[in-house]
Amino acid sequence: MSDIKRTSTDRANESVSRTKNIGAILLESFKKDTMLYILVIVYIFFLILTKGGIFRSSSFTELVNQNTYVYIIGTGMLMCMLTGGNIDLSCGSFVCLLGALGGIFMVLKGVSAGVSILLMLAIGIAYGTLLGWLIAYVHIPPWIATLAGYLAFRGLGTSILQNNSATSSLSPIPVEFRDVFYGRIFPTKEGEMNWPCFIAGIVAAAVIVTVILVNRKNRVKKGYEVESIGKTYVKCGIGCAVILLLMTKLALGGGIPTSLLWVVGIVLTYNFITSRTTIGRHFYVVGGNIEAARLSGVNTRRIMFIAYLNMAVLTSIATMTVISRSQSANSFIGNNFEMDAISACVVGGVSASGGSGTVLDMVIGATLIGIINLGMSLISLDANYQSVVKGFVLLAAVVFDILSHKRKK
Amino acid sequence: MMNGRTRSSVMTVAALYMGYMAYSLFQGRNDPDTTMPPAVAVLFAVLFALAAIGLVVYSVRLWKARDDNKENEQQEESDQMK
Repeated sequence: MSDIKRTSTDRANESVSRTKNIGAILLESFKKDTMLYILVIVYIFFLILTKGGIFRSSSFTELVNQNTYVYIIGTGMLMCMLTGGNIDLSCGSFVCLLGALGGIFMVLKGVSAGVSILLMLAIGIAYGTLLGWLIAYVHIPPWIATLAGYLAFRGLGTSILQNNSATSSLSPIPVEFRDVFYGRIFPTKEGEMNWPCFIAGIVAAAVIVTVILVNRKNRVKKGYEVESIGKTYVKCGIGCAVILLLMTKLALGGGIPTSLLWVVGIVLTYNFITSRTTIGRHFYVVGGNIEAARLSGVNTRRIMFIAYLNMAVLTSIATMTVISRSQSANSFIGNNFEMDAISACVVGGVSASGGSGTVLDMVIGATLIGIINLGMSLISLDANYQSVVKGFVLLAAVVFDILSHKRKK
Repeated sequence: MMNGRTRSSVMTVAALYMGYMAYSLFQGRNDPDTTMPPAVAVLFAVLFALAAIGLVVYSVRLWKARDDNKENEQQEESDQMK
């Protein structure tokens, strides 16, 4: 009798300690991936609020298309912020100016789409070279150099549009140009299953799982600490489910948008650069301690120059996606782009265990802001209320960072 | 990414954004297209303005704390060399 009592007490104790372990694991996971959990909670919130409207195929496509510029400019902004909190305030105004010039090339001068793309990239590179040189070699503070652009470019872009069009807008942007940045791969009708898109989703999921497992295997071989295989499988499962859900929704929404390919290409490239290349790590080193980086032999001026040149190039690409989507070049494009990009970096880079500042963190931040924007549009929330919500989201992220930093100390 | 200098810059930018929000809400309080009552718009504008001021103050304190830490480290290094 006493043996049976001991066994049931032991079982009760085991159950309590297992529950505590699960609780501890969940808490640890929350601390590590705070923004990911918040993303899921916010999505579920809007799922209920919009009565499933945010789960429609068209909503997924809209989420991607509406936020393409945030992902692209956010990547460039992250690279600038990694060098020590530097930012680019001129990107939104530069989008307006470059969009105006692109409109002139294609709509007024009849330049082909291919040549226009090259010209716009060349202008972006020229601006980035000038900006990078002023900041890195002439030592003008980034704030001042980019603030000058912020003030000058919008006025310049607007006056170019006003001088060349009665409506201050140049349209239509040629279809060949739009298809490169705002088209679809193997388009189908909405509601019809787009099999290439669905198969691409399966391939993407398989690749992600392979990469995660191979990385883990390499880390084990080298003797690094790794998480349990169970956790890894759970991560793979969740990742696959999300990718397949996204691609299925896009498949039913008419196919893979070309803007998604641009975003995925840029994000994966920069994620690789920042995590696996020497020059990528130099960005973190310069941001950590610029003097120590310089004394260690890192060419800090070159890193600063590259950060701003890179930002201008990515802004040029973002401009092309924006004018493709709006099918015109007008003086309103680029409004608040710099703030959206900075918000994505700040919101995504915050976690209770300290911001790591990776490209994927920025993507999570941008997606969170995108879901909030889309959700608010779907429930037809007034523009002023939308501004209030966006302001509170950023304020919450900043306060969360302050509190978690104090707790760490 | 979130070292002292970066955090200070991010706080300053967040403060600028809050200030800009406060300004646009205040400017748009009498917009006929909005459903937000003017009093609510002014209230949020004031809240964001206060948040902006708070963030600027925090950012300045962060920057000063970073400078103090630097001075202390340099002092320690010169003491060790002696």
